[in-house]
Amino acid sequence: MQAFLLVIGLILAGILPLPLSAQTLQQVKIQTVLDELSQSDDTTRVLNLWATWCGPCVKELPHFEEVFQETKGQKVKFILLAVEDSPKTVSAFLSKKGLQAPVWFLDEAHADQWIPRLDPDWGGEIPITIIINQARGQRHFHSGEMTKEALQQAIHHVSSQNK
Amino acid sequence: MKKLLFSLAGLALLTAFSFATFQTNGYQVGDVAADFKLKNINGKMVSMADYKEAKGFIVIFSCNHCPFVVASEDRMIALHEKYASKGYPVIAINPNEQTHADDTFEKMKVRAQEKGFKFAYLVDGEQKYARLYGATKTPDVFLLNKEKKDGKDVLIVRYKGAIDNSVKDAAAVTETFLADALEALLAGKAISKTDTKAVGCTIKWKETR
Repeated sequence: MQAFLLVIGLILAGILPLPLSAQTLQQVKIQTVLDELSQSDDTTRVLNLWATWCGPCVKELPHFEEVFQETKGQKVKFILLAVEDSPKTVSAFLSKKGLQAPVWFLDEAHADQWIPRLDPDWGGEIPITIIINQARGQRHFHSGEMTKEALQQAIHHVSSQNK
Repeated sequence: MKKLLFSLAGLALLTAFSFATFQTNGYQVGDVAADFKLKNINGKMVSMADYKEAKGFIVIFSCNHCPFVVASEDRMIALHEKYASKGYPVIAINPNEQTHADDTFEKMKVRAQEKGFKFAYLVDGEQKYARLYGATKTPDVFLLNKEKKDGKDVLIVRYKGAIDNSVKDAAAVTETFLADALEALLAGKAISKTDTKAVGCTIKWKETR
């Protein structure tokens, strides 16, 4: 009993991780995403736009999770931005898949307004991935599904080049 | 010195211009759109030139499986019902790679039958026209208007983008961009929004891009 209480105590204290702790879904407006991408520090930001209803998006998510795990401790930040979806569906999906990479939910009603703010040249297709490092003046835009290798290469490129 | 500054400014402008031209993929509003000859679900080849009475076309790059297409199908049917008789029929084109199990020609026939499509549903197996037009997703709309240019009939892109401002939920639509553009064309008025964006399913391109 004492050992049990100790474990509970440690979990509550945040020392022991809960097994399969599903992350709480952060709901954001497009401005929050734009602010994040415009940070001028030497950190590479990987923004992936996806939806639970999008087949190729769901298929490539494990690659993002793997590279997220592999780049822990490096100056790489992931944001998996769920768009045109419902918070309930996305939350249920996250509990099932146990993704650890940060997932944000874009709480915007009208795509015709937020799409041009994110990228006026983007046609609106998903998935897309934007990899950006403001300090190095590097930006990589990828339309469609990405392989793990392509993702790794693009992150490496954006993180190591200078303008 | 003044002359030098002028030439520099001119050079900068030229560079900016060529860069912009280089960057644009596919048709912009105002461009002349190419006709196609593509296989319809009934096996017959279809060109826009076949529609002698048409004043223009609602060309929609579409497919079978994309949930955002599925959410739009009833709106596509309604648009055809309302505007075909006024001279603007819908022509749907599936540009997805034919190896995608849900997007084969056979499945197109099934979907058209299930939904009772009264418009042409063509397969762009070589993805030639999706590239030429600059479609990136399904659904992706190009509204073409038949106009005279140098004494010849040409099809001009007058609107491109989304059907309306809420693809996933028809009940939440507050702006009917495509219908508004059609009404403007029919009334001989200027289209207020000529280029809009919406989220859709990426076109399944062949590997040899």
